[in-house]
Amino acid sequence: MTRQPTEMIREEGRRWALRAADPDFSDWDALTDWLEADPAHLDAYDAALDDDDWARRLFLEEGPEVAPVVAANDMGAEAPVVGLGGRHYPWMGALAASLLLAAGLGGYFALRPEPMTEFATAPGQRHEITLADGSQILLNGGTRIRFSPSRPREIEMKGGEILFRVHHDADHPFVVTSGNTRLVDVGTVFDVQQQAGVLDVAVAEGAVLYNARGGEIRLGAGDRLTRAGDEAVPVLAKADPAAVGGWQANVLTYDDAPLSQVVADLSRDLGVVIVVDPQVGARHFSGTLSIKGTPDAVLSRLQAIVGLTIVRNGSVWRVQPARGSSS
Amino acid sequence: MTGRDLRSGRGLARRRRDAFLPSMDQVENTSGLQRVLLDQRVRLLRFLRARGAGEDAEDMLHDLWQRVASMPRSPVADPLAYLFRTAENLMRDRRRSDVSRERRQFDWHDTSVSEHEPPVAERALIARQRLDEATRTLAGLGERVEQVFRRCRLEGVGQVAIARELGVSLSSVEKDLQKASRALAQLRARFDAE
Repeated sequence: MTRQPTEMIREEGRRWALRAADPDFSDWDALTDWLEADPAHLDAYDAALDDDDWARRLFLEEGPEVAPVVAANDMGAEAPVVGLGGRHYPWMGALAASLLLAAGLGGYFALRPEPMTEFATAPGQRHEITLADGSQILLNGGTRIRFSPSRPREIEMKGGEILFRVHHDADHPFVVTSGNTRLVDVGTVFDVQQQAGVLDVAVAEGAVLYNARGGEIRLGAGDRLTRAGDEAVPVLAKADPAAVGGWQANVLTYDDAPLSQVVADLSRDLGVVIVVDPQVGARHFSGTLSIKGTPDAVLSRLQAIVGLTIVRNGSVWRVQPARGSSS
Repeated sequence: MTGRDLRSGRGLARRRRDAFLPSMDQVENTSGLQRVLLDQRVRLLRFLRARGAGEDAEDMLHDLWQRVASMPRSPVADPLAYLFRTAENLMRDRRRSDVSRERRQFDWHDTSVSEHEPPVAERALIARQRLDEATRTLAGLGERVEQVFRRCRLEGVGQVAIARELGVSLSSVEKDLQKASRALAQLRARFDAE
C-alpha cells in the first residue's frame, strides 16, 4: 500500500537515495534509523529510487548519443526496447563506470555504466526469474546467468541448466549465449544444459536456432542437440517434448542416457555429491525418475530402478554394482 | 531442507519460511564475508526489515547468504558495507520483480492494453522529446548542477571525488544532486500526467 508522503518526506527520501547511491556510502545504520522512524519514509525512498532509475535510463539508454556505444558492446541486437522496465544497480554501475574512467575511456556518453545482473543457484537450489514481458527463466541448481538489465532478453549462461518459456517477439528475439554459441528463440519453450563447452538443448515448443562457429541449425519441437565440447560436432536427436524441462516438475526422463549423466543431473538437482563407480558409469538408463523428496528417498528409488547399490558415506553417495552381483 | 514446493512456479522466490540457520557444514566452509554476515546478523536483519522485507527479512538474509556464498572470493575492503550494499541490491531486485509481476497481472486481466500502446516509432519519438526536455531542464539548473548530476548519476563517479574535482564542499555536491533529482522527478510527474 503506497501512502502519499509529504513533500518534506519526499525530499528526505531523495536525499537518502542519493546518499546511498554513492559508492562510498557507509552510513547504513543511520539509513535504517530513518526508515524505521516512519513508514512513509520507505515509500519516499523507493519513489526516489524509481525517479533516479527513470532519469538514468532516459539519459543513458534512449538518447541518440548512446546509440553507437550500445551497438559497440552489444551482441548485435537493436536499440534497447523502450519501456522494458529494467532497473539499474546504481552502485554497481558506479563501480563499473569508475573503472572505465580509470581505464581512460571517459567522455559523457562513451560510458554505459550499466552493470550486468547476475543470478547464480547453488546445487539443489532453484530460482525463477520472470521478465517484464512475461518470459520465464527457470534456473536449476548449479546455474549461473547474467544479462544487462536493459536487455534482459539476451542471456549469457555459464554452466547449469535452464528452462526457458519465452514470450516471442520477432523484433526482439530472445537470445541465449554460451561461449561462442548463440541460441535464438522462435517462440519457444526450451531447456539448455551447459557445462564448459558441453551443451544440451531440447525444444518443447516452437523452435530455436543454434548458432555456433558460423553454422546454424534449426531445432523444432521435439528436437535435441547435444555437443560434447566447444569444438565438437553437434549431434541431433529426438526429445520427448512433454519431458523437456521435466526437472521443474521434479521429474527427469531419460532415453538411453549414460548413468554418469543421470548422476550429474541428480547432483545438481539434489545438491549432493554423487560419485559413480567406473564399473557402472557407462551403463545406460531409460525411464522416468521422480526427484521429489529427500536425497535419500530419491536415491533409494533410483537404486531400485537401476538395480545398483547406492551407499552413503557421510555427505557423499556412491553408485556401485549391486551387492552380490558378479559383474 | 524443508519441503519446498517446486511446482508452485511463482512461489519459488519466496519458498523458504524456515529460519536462517546454516548447517555446521556450511559454517566450516564460510568465507570471511559470511562470517561477518553471521556476526552482524541482527544489524542486517534490522536493515532488511526497515527496507521493506518485513516478515521476509529472514528469507532475505538467507538469500544474502546464498549470494555471498556464490561470489568469487576476492578481498573486500569493508565487508560490512559490502553486505549492506548487497542487501540493498537484493531489496531492489525484489521490488523490481514485484512491480513486473503486478504489471503482468494487470496485462493478464486487460489484454487490450497492448493495442492502446503507441507503435514503436512513435514511442521512440516520445522518448526523444522527453530526453530533449530533460536535457533542457538540467541545463536550466546551471552548469555546475548539471555537471555534478552527470558525473555522479550517469558516470558513476563518487561524490567526494567530484567535490574535489570541482573544488567545492561535499555538502554542496549533495545539494546540487538533490536539486537536479528534484527537478527531474517533477518533470517525470508531469510526463506521467500528460
